Formats: sequence, C-alpha cells, structure tokens
Amino acid sequence: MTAWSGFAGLMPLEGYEPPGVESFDLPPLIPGQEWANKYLLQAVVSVVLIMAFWLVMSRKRALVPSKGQFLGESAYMFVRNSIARDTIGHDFKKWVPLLIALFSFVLVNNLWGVFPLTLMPTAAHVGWAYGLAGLVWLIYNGIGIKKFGPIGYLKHATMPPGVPGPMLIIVAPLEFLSNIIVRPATLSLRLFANMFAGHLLVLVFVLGGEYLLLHSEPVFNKVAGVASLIFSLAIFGLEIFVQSLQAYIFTMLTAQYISSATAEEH
Amino acid sequence: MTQVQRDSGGSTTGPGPDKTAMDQGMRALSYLISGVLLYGALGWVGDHFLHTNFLLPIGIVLGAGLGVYLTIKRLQAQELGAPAAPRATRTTTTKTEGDR
Repeated sequence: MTAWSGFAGLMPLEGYEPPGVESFDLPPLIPGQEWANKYLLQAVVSVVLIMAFWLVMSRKRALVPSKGQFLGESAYMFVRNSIARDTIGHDFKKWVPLLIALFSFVLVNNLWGVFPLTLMPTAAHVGWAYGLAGLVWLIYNGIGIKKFGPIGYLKHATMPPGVPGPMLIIVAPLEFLSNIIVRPATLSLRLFANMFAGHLLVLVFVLGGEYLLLHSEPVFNKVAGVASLIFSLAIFGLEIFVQSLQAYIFTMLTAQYISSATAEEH
Repeated sequence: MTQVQRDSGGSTTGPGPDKTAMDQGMRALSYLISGVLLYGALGWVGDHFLHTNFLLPIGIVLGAGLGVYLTIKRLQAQELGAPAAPRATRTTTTKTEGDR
C-alpha cells in the first residue's frame, strides 16, 4: 500500500461507482408494473413513429420528389434492392414489407441509444433481441415447412450439399444445429451484445468523465475528465455507425435465412 | 436450378458478390460454433460418464474440424452452383467419350 501512496492523487475513486450490468435494470415507469419500463415505451413510440413516417411517405407522392420523399424513397429502395432483391432473388417482392418493417424497427430502436431524450438502445435489454430473433426464426422455419412439408424441411435443414454418405451421419446433426439453433442465437446475441456494449462504453466515458471532472480534486483528474467527455462524442459517433450497421446486418441475415430456407439446392 | 439463376443474377448487380461473401462468412461462423458446441458437449458427456479427461478437447477439435469441412463443402457447392449446368454436361460427354 505504501508503494501506491505516491500515486494517491491518481486514484481517489472511492465514491465512484462504475457502470455495470445493473445500469440496464431500469425502474418501471408505472410503480408496481415491472413490464412497463422505458424499453417498452421506446418500442411503442418507435412503432408509432415508423408507421407515421411510412404513411406520410406513401401518402404525399409527387413525380418530382421533395427532399422528404427522396429520403423515404431511398430508404425504401435501399432495403428493397440491396437487401431483399440481391439476397432473396426472383421471388423477393412479398418479403419487402417484412424486411422494411424489421429494418425500420431495429434501426429506430438502436438509434434511441444516441437520441438525447432516451439514450438507451432498446435491444440493450436482451429480451427485445430474443423476441426479434424468435420472430425471424418462426418465419423462416415456417416458410420452409410450408414449402417442403415437415419431413422435407427437416431433410433440407440437415443435409448439407455435396457430402458423401457416411460423413452425413456425423455432419447432419451439425447442420441441423447450425440452421435451427445457432442461427437465431447468434442473430439475437449479435444485436444485443453490440447495443449493450455500445451503451456501456458510452456510460463509462460519460459517467467516468463527469466524476473525474466534478467530483475529484486533483487538476490532472479534471483534465482527464474533460478529455474523456470529449472522447465520448467520438464514441457517440461510433455508436451511430454501429447501430445503423447492426440494423442492416439484422435485416440482411433475415433475408438470407428466408432465402436459404426456401432454396432448392438438392 | 433456381439456385443457379439466382447466383448469376446476383453477380450481375453491384452488391451481389458482397452479399454471398457475407452469407459464406456467417455460415462458416455458424458451422464452427455448432461443431465445437455439439462435439465438445458430446466429449464432455463422455468424460463425465467414463471418468476420463481427454474426450472434451478431442471433441472440440473434431467439432471445429467438421465445421471447417462443412464450410468447404458448402463453398464448393456454391462455387459449382454458377457453372454447374455446363460442367455437368461436360463431364457426361467426357464420360461417354471414355466409354467409346
């Protein structure tokens, strides 16, 4: 301990409580109703906003688009062309509504993480990520079963192409596990972990910077606090990028799962 | 056959190869995770009941190897996907030539 006494000025952090997992346990908005928390409010508001956005976009169509219509149309064409068409192929049109809805929902709910009034991505609570991935899981297995029948789909999900007979016995459970269990798990955990870690990073920079600047004595700490707060802006920028990217990846993978559940490759 | 058409259609548009690359990457990851999980778990179960301690690492390595094997097979199937039709006919013609 005496060896550290010279550095005492560097570590006066007794009153500092670092952010952790418990930072994500938000109190319920209505007392006594555990389910009515900020995440639910954000999700509901996001649905209302998204519906309003797409209704306005589709209502006020003009041949020469305004700036707003241009934004809406480019967002729509982005999902339609570079996600749905390029991934699903010739039968993509009936999946565009689902993919648009998923993309809008995940994007808006991720961006709640940098919106000043909310500052919390909805998927930072793992239940929302599980729910979304569960929905995708039901859809792609459902259409697979609808197309090939239960037995046919089981075959489709367990038989990798181009594997000779005896190898198939060791490899079929692997293919099944990969298609049916690992896919939804990675889909949900990828979204959740990115949002959770991003928010935690922001918390560390902002709360740590705030503590160093306002609640600690040495001048060096105050300088470090200011630096930390300035860097937190860069972290916010990074978060905007990660949140948009994760919304894109989530939608892209959904399209891919739909495509591979209905692909005729045998 | 629809696979063939989709692949060739995807590669003509700009982000086509990008999308298949992402698909392959995610598949490889998924196979590796499944392989390690499944055969690692089997190895662990074997260790637990046979009171040995070498089956778990063997299972993990074997699972990872099988994941790589599946990825290779899947990539081969995709690569053959685009020129599959002409190549299939070519092989049949060479076979008939050999028979002659």
